[in-house]
Amino acid sequence: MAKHPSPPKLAYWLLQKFCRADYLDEVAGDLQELYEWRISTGKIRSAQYRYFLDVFSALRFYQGGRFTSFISNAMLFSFIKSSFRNFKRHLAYTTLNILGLALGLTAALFILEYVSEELNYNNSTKAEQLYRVSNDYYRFGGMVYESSMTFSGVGPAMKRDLPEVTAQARLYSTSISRGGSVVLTRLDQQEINFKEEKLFFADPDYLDFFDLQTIHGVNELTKPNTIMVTAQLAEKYFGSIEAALGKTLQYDDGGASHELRITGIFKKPGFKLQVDADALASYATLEQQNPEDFANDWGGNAFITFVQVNEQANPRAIEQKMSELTLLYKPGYAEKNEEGVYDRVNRYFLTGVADIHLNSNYQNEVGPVGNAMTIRILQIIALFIVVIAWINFINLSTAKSVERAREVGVRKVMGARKKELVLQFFTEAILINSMAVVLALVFVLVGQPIFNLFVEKGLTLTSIDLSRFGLVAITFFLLGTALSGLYPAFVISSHQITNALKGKSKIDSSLYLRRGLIVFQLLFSSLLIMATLAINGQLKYMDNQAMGFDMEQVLILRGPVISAARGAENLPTIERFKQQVLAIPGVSSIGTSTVIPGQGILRGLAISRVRESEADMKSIERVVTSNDFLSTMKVHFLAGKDFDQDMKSYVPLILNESAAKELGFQDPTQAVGELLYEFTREERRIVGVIEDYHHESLNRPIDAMYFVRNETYDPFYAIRMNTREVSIALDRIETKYKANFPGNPTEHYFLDQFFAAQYKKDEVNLKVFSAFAFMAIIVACLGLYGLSSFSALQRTKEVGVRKVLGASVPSLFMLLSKEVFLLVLIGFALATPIAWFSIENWLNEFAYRMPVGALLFIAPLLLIMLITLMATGITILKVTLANPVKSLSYE
Amino acid sequence: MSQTLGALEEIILLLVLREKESYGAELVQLYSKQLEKQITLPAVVMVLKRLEKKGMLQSKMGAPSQKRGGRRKVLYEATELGYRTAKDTMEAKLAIWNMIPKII
Repeated sequence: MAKHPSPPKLAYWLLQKFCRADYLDEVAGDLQELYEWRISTGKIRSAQYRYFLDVFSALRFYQGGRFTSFISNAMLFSFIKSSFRNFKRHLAYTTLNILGLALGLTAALFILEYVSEELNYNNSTKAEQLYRVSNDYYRFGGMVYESSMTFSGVGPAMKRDLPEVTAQARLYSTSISRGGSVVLTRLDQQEINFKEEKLFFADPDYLDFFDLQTIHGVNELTKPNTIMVTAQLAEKYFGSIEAALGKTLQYDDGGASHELRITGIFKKPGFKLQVDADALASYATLEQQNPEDFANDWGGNAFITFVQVNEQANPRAIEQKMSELTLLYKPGYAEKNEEGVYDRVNRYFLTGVADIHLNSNYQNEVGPVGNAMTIRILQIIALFIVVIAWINFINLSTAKSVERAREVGVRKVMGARKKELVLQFFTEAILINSMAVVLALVFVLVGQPIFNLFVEKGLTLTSIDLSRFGLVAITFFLLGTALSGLYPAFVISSHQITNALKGKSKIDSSLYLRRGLIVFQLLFSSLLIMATLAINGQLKYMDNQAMGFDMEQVLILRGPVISAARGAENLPTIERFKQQVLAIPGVSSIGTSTVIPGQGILRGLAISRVRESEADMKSIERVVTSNDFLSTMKVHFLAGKDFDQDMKSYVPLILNESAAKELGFQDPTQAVGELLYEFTREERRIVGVIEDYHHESLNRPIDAMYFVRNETYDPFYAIRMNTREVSIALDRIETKYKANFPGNPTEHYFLDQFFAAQYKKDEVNLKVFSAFAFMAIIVACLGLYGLSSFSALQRTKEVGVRKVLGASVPSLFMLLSKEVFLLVLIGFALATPIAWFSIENWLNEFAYRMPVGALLFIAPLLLIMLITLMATGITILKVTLANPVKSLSYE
Repeated sequence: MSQTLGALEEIILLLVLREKESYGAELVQLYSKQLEKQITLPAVVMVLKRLEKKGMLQSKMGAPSQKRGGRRKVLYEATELGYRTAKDTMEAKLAIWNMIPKII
């Protein structure tokens, strides 16, 4: 016999495993013979291939039952079949179960989307080694400011002098540090210009730090007068990326102007950036223009500074070293008082870049700030909503078990083992859970747009951070499914045959568990309702507080950036514009200011009653305004009056009440006419004291403020209107603006809307909480409904007997609903202290907080009572109203 | 006619009748030669078993051979019923065929 390869071993093994035993010899033999024959025709490969094909074809002889395991395929098939029969028989109950679980999972998925995005800030590949440098400033023992931004010299000094620091990058934006705005203009086509809010001067390493990819051109931010932009921005100005590369944009911020050449296009990374930039101009531009302020200055805190450290570095140790570094660059800070304590101290802090978004308390933090606590609470809510849904499932299944006792009895009589019964019910649980998952995914896909509208984000299922939540979520889900499926399965399958067949089965042990679980559900729902009411109450409270000024009908117009002249030479134009606007019907007054209500002011500039004495200086917020600005805001003067044209021979100044107190004036009237010194020697005369007004949201206390007059600063125009036809007046104002400040894009909004934007974070929280509270309650309701209707039906006969003996409908209703309401009360009683404690804690974050009244707790109780009544009442009523003849013949 | 035959059953039955006695592997070879089409062995075995169940074939064990790795082959032979069924089927078909006007 010729030498040739034997038939594939794997194929033969498969054949042995799956072929019907009594055919095996015949088939194997025939195959061997065919194989030899095919080999003899010369095609070895084809012979082997055909052998495989035949073996797979032989799978048709496969017969189940060759496995030793006790669940055979046939058995599994039967489980699934009878599960679906059961679903059909108890359609309402199955629907309730699936719906409840699906709703719970939907809520959890939405929360995961939301949380994932909030946690996904600054998640660059280097995030572990990147820190943001911020600093506090103390003088004579008192804190002057806390700032998320530090000095221009800090970053380079850290890289130079600290071996742990391997790289640094600074960001600077005029509009953030000094107010006002920035305009970019195409150098070759002056009419193409836009205001750019997201433009930063950046050191070259910034791109590398945060995974910003250079997709076209090169990163030449080391050179002055270069800029990199996003593809979107390039298209906005030049139509295409190709046309933009190498072109020049003119930069204006009202103070300085630069010509910036586009050297590259960058792409933003997949994660969110705390500082979201559309254009990055080279920081070297600033250093070249004004090295004194931008290269190595240690006084102006306007620079967002990131440092990269090596892997062994300890950020706390670096913070310590920073104080020595300060003394090196700020020799003046070496002065000590009699007790040997430094007069002036800068304290530096390093924050991991990924922690900035959720853990920042800085008033001048750049970019959106989230709240770590909210995120944690949301994760807990997601967990609990799903748990509630499983509790429903367990409750309904164990309750239903009484009804299915007969089925269990019959199955047992027919010889079913307990193991098989458990598996039957477990199969049902798995099927219900899987259907719920599918339904939840459908809900998420359908509900996504509504949810996004609600939380004002662009979330999708893919927003879920699988590397963070994937494993945990899936483990949690599988474990929950297994537990919620196994428990009822064991309870149901442990019915005694004889009792079960008599229909007398009673499971007392699970009754307590069921009650306990319901109490938990109600507790959680009450908590969510209370939280929602508290947030809503606090927002309403803040909304209704007297603000101390009138923000209705005030139009805010951003001042021009591009001007023909600078400083005092601009005054005639500004004056002319103001007069023209005042002449428009519907406009009652106009004023300018560096800051408008709703904007934060950073302390730091100093004023004192004693000339040339640093020790007497107070750090009070400073605002520069024109004549009539404060009157336009309608603030209330306690003494003196607003700036006017007659105050000529001196620089007038106005204090708010808090500032007057801080400067040591007992009585506002006493302050008027007194002299103050700004920057130690510049003389100012107090002409008025105003009542404190809420310059910022009520989250914050009122700070001491002072106002200095300067007619040439015009970052914001505030225009009070007294007309219903706002749009007509607005058109006219815009026309005048364009005529007086050519080349400037106009931007305007109403002060009340601007001010309200401060509460956005709380409003989104409110919406999110109310949405999930709603879902949790619905899920809990489904459970209550299912359970109560079931237990009412169980007692149909009892009700019949009682009725025959003369019980009234109301008394029967009381009897049947007593238990559920008792559970509601217990749940509520447990929820109240937890809620009270958390709400008190949360309210303490606000400077102005609402009083916590009893209504906050009674309203949720009534609400839950009402919902429970609706959920349980109908079936109970049906049972109690039924004709006793019918109910007695029941069963 | 007592029982109907499927198309594959018919061909396998006819092949067995022609060979007087045959088995799976041989039938696969004959099939591919006669019809110039490939067929898998299990398909043939399946048909053989079905024909046996219908009583048209009977099987007996052959001698074990080295060629088959020491396994016995199962030989199939047509029964009286098998022969009659094949005859009836073919005659009926032929009768119809003869009534068809011939084009070529």
